[in-house]
Amino acid sequence: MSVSEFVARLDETLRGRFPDAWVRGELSEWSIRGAGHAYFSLKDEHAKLECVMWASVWKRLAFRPDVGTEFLAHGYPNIYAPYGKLSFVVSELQPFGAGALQIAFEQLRARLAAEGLFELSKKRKLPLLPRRIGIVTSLGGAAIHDILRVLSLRFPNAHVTIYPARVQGEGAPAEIAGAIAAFSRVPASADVLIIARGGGSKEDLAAFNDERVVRAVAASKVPTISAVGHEVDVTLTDLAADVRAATPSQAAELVVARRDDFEARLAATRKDLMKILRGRLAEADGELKGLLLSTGFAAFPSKVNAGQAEADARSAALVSTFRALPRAFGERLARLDERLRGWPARAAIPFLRRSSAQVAAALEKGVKAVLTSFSARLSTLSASLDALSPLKVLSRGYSVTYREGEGSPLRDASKVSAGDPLKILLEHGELRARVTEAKVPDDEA
Amino acid sequence: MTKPKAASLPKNLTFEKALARLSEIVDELEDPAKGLESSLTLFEEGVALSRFCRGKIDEIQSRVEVVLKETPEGFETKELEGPGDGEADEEDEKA
Repeated sequence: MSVSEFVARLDETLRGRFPDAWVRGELSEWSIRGAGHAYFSLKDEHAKLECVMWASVWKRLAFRPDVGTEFLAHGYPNIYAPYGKLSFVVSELQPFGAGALQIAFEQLRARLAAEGLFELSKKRKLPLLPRRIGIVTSLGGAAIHDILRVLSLRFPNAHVTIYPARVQGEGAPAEIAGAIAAFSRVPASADVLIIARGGGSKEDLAAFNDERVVRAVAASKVPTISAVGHEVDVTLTDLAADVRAATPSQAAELVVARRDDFEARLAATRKDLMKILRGRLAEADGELKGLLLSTGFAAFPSKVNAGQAEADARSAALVSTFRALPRAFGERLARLDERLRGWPARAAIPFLRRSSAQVAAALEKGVKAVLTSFSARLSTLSASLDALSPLKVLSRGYSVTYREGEGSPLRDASKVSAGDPLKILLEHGELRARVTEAKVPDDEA
Repeated sequence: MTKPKAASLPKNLTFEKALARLSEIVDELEDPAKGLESSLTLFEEGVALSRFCRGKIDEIQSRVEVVLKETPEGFETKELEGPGDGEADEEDEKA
């Protein structure tokens, strides 16, 4: 028997004896060579088996085989004649223990996490009041039913736009990813997006661990809520979404607060506003009344009245004095009259009378206007009082100085001279004083 | 008191900003050092904001629609019908 014959017989015998073997071992020395086939070995404490996986086979694997992990390999033995080398041709490779899906999940999670797709700092806040709620799910599933039921209870006039997509099976990842992207493309199509699927087995939820879907969620311009499966199921879509809801029903609770809550909150705020403003008005009212009753303000009209009465009495006395003069003094009277005309005080009497009457009238009018506008436009008045009220200024320790008998406060030292009588208004009471010296800054141009 | 005049609100105001500003206003108003005129102005703004928020809640149109396809103008949709929300539809019709 030639070597070729013998090796061929061996190969045939081995393959015939083990056409369908399952071998368990730890993976080592994984490498891709030449035509893209994978060469590796499986080993345990006492033995080692060289394996080969054709490119078409290993490229279908959902995971990248990790060295050091235990695998179950399905295949048949083969002797490569030119080298007389035995290898195991693997047609199927499964992680031993954890399922292949689990491995794939962990690896994709690690890869996408490294890219920052699950970054917590990138999570966006959901809008408080979504004008339009987008939903990506299947129309036939329990998820859409749950979401709509809860929404109709919480926010009856919600505007919901559903983009139907299959949520399991071969085409599901592409459909879900496409629907998510569509909401980002179409302006104002949604303020918030729910990606939902009811509960199911791990395999049923596989689409939500598909890289395309996870990337679409992470790239969504619209803030996302994921609601996939039950609370215990965490998919990569959940990790990539801005907010994760445990269930579709909870997504409906997270997406918008109860309409009654909004209304109650607004009503409470309005009530607060009213209460504070009422308090503020009452305060201002008290302040204004205090001001009107304060000594300076209250005394002013009576002082003017007194001044007017005095002026009236004096002019009446003057007139009667003139009347009482004998006719014989007529000539002297005429001359006196002429002289009197030159007397400024005489000429000032009608003016004084008129002006005091005018002041009183103006004051009365002014006070009336103040009182009228107080009720009509309390705000303006009180605000300016707030700012200008002499009481406010006095209470801060300032005082106001008048030249005795003058109505407007003194602003300039050059307007008084030594000996002039002064009236100084303090917070409590007033002072009568005399100028001992008026210092005028001489550098004033 | 006269009816508060409509304080002018910013053009690009959102519901969130309006709510946030509302609570700010309540805080500001509670400051006893606030003058009456500015208090009134704040109050008017507050009333306008709360009207704005209320309006935003009301203006959301009650609608559940399904996307048929995406067109350059946006989504082409139709009202959702089906066993899923049959109960709700019935209730709507009775109401």
